[in-house]
Amino acid sequence: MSSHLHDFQLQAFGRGELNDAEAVSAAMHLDECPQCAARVATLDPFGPVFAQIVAPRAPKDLVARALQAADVPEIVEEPVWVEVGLGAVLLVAAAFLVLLGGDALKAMVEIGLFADVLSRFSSPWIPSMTPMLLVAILAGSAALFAIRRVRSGQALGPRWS
Amino acid sequence: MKYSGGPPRTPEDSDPEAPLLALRVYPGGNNESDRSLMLRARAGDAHARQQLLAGISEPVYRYTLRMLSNAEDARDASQDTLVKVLRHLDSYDLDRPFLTWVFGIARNTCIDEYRRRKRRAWDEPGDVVDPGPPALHLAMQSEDAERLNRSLAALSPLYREVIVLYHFEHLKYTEIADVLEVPLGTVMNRIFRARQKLKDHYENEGGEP
Ligand SMILES: [Zn+2]
Repeated sequence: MSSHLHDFQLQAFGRGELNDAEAVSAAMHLDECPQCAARVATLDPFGPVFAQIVAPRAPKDLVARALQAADVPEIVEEPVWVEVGLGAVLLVAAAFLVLLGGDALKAMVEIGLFADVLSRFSSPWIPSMTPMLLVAILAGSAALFAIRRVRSGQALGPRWS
Repeated sequence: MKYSGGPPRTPEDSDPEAPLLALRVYPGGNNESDRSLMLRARAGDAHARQQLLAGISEPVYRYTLRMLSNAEDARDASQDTLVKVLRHLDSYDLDRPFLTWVFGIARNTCIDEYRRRKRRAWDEPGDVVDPGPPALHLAMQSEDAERLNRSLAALSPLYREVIVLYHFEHLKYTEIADVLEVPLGTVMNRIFRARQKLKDHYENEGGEP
């Protein structure tokens, strides 16, 4: 252990006046040196007030309830996977539309799918690929959004190490 | 029980007959009896699981109550924390001090609760008084203590937690860095700022530290 901290160092530490490197080295010393920790504590104007604060007590049944809850199987959050599934289906559909291009459009019009909307896109002054690309972009975004939600859902959870 | 003021307790201060894991973090990891308790709990020994949770339930509850300022939320968050401890005991590294791992879980649980409430972000370093129910009327205590409690509740979670971990839970600075997963310099910076904000608020309320 390094040599004990001087009073002026402890005072500066208490007032937060040490620079970063000094503060870190003082903190490491205080962590390991009960004598200096006791000295710095006597300089703390809040010390006596902290000592007066009454500690709250946990509910008596906390441990029993936790043990009981831990025995219940963990709920797997499926809705997120539904989103991913939906995203994947949309992606495949988008790829299909892009690959087939105008043929797919024509087929959809023939079986009456979204006939009203599609007939507008089919007008000669709009290239037939435009709606395909739009659909592809939308579907791709949906899939990405779903995947991002899963990722962030994992990141939100506690980091166990 | 009152908090012991002054410097962090050292392992030698703890009563050898006290329940295992009696709330001290041992430097450099866990002692042998704690390790054996954890291993038994891991293997599914019901008594060991009960003992393990009994040793951490009080600090976990205190921490969640101080961070969430609401007894009901604290009860839920501390129960969730204990459940997570049991469920993830397998992935816990026995060389890491147990209590810092547990506080890390409690912290993440509280952060999730903050997110769920859609209140201001945990790490927003604002000076604004917490919009939640702030004052913790825990028991009969002095006016100064009440004032300090109010000032503490007024700190943003980012600053409150370092005060809570140091002054109430008696963690070392390096252990706080471990819980927060930030460098020691960041911890020291936050502690200094937190103390300054605490002092300002306390004085505004008419107190003289
Ligand atoms: Zn020293």
